[in-house]
Amino acid sequence: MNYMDELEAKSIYIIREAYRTFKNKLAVLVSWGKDSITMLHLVKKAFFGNVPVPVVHIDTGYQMKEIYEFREKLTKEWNLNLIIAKNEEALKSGMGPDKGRLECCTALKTEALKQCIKQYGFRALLVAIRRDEHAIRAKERYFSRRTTDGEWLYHEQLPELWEHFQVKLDDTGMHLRVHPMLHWREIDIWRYIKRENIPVNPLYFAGARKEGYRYRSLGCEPCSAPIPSNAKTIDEIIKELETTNIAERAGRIQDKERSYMMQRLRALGYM
Amino acid sequence: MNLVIVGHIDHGKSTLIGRLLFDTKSLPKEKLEEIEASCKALGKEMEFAYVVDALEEERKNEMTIDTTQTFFQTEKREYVIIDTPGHKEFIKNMITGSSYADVAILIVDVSEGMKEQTKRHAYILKLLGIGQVIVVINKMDKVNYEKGRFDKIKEEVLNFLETIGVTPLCVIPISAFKGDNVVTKSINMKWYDGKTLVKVLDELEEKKRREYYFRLPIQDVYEINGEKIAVGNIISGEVKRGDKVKIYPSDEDAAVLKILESNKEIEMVRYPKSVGIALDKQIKRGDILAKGERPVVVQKLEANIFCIDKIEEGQEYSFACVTQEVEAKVVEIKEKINPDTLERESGKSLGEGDVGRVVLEFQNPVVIEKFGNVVELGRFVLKKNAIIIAGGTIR
Repeated sequence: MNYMDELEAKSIYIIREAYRTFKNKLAVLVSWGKDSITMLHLVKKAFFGNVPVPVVHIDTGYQMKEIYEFREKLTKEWNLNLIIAKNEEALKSGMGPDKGRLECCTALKTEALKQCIKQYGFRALLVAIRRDEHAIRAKERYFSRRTTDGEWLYHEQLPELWEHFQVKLDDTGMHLRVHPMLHWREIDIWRYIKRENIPVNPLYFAGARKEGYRYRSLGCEPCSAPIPSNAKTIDEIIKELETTNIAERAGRIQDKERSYMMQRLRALGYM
Repeated sequence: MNLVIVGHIDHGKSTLIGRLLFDTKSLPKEKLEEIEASCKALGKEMEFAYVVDALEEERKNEMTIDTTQTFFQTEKREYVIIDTPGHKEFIKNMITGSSYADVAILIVDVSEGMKEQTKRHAYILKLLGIGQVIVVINKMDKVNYEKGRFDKIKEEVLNFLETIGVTPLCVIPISAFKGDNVVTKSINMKWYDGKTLVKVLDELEEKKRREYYFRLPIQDVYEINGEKIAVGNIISGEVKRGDKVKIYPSDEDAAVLKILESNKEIEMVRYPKSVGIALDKQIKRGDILAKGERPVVVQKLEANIFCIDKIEEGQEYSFACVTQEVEAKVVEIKEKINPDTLERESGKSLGEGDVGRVVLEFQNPVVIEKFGNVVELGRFVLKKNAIIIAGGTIR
């Protein structure tokens, strides 16, 4: 399992570099999905069983209830310092996907995150995105700057070479997105979850809500669609992934709606 | 296996990637639909390049701006394919992308031949230490699949590569747009009896890392339950609890008291693991732990570098090699090489995209290794204001 060890070692190195520079001004962004839980597990490994930095959950208010349940369980078990980022104002004034998905994601996710960063003064965030999730994410760097407004300057990215990363920030308003999982593929995540016995949300398995269906990617309740599947165990999921021709985020509505939606979202500070 | 595609602008890199994914059925259904919709909206025929050119600006301006990675698979193995921009303006993105590759595919448009970026990219590949290079001569459909045209460019490419010391594995005539010889053997080029690109890739052997002596660059030191634990990624060899190791560059002896992985103590650990280690001596970031043959410790280094930004003789920069970082003065720019003409010029500075040979003097001793022994200790970057502006490998 040398290959898995290589993936793991690289991610841990990146996590440790980020911590070294930012200490508790670094936060871990989790959605409680398979990727962020894997990343959180790696953070625990990097710090010998502990998660020494705050864990931020962007709560859109439209999350699936199993996500909230899973969050409670893990926060207790792993002794996490949990911060919930929620755009209460937008929710009070009735924001929702019916207002347009670009608008909703921007208000309830991106804005909520921006407010949280400001409130706590975070300078860097560990985010579990991967290159194979979306072609726009494939353009990312391991350490990626965001402006004071949270914008991604994709046309001005700094070079990253080998094991050398740009960890310094100049402008006090900027923050850094750190992506330790960029080089992991969907199937790598599941194989690692199996190897390490990482707890995952039951929604990923068939029958959690409806027989014959499972969620391959977990977004908010109104914007995530399950896929037809009978995979009830991790082994069955891995087998399914080995043969599928369907993209992981096929059930994620905000990825499809408008052309270049993902690019627009990310340029505004999305994950 | 990690592949990178490089070459001059518009010679077909992104199209080749799209074609590879499409023909190996590695393209998810939704992706194909999305591309078809995008093409329709922009009034074009099927554009395979859209598989990787996902930024709106890239599609509208028909050019790759930044590097990206995507995946495809054959019966034999899984591949990561890295696309790079061919435009001179984006050389730093090309360098970033190429740094992850094991194998390079150098693409040349048969109707244009080797152009400036083709040569520059080839040179940079050499300096990045990418040993295996496959040359593909693209757009054969545009020259009626003529053997004569292929042979002419093939000779030009081989001559150039020989001058810079690169021996490609093979030279293949293809058409990424039409699909000839990428995955499917071409029926239009019966004069070519070689393999398709995919067949060549599948037959490549995974380059094995050289098994070398124990080397662990220290990344940080944590205090865990009152004990100092040093952390880092092992880049070579193995270590056991109780081992005697040496700390470099100070050349001190130390004993390994404890090895930690996650929250467990373990007896032994080897490459490529990340570890926590407690010694009977204090160590810090930048120290290199070693066993067996001594690593190379220098205070002066002559090396070939490629530049992302200006390097000037007499100036000081930060030299970084694994977790080491020291101030380095460029005491001399011995040679500036023009990749286009291969002329060796003298100069007091190297600009963006230039390659050259420099002499560096370090404020403190630095640990290195030959690239062939331990890859990570055999390569370095130069930084200015914490930003990477040059890199090189140590032969």
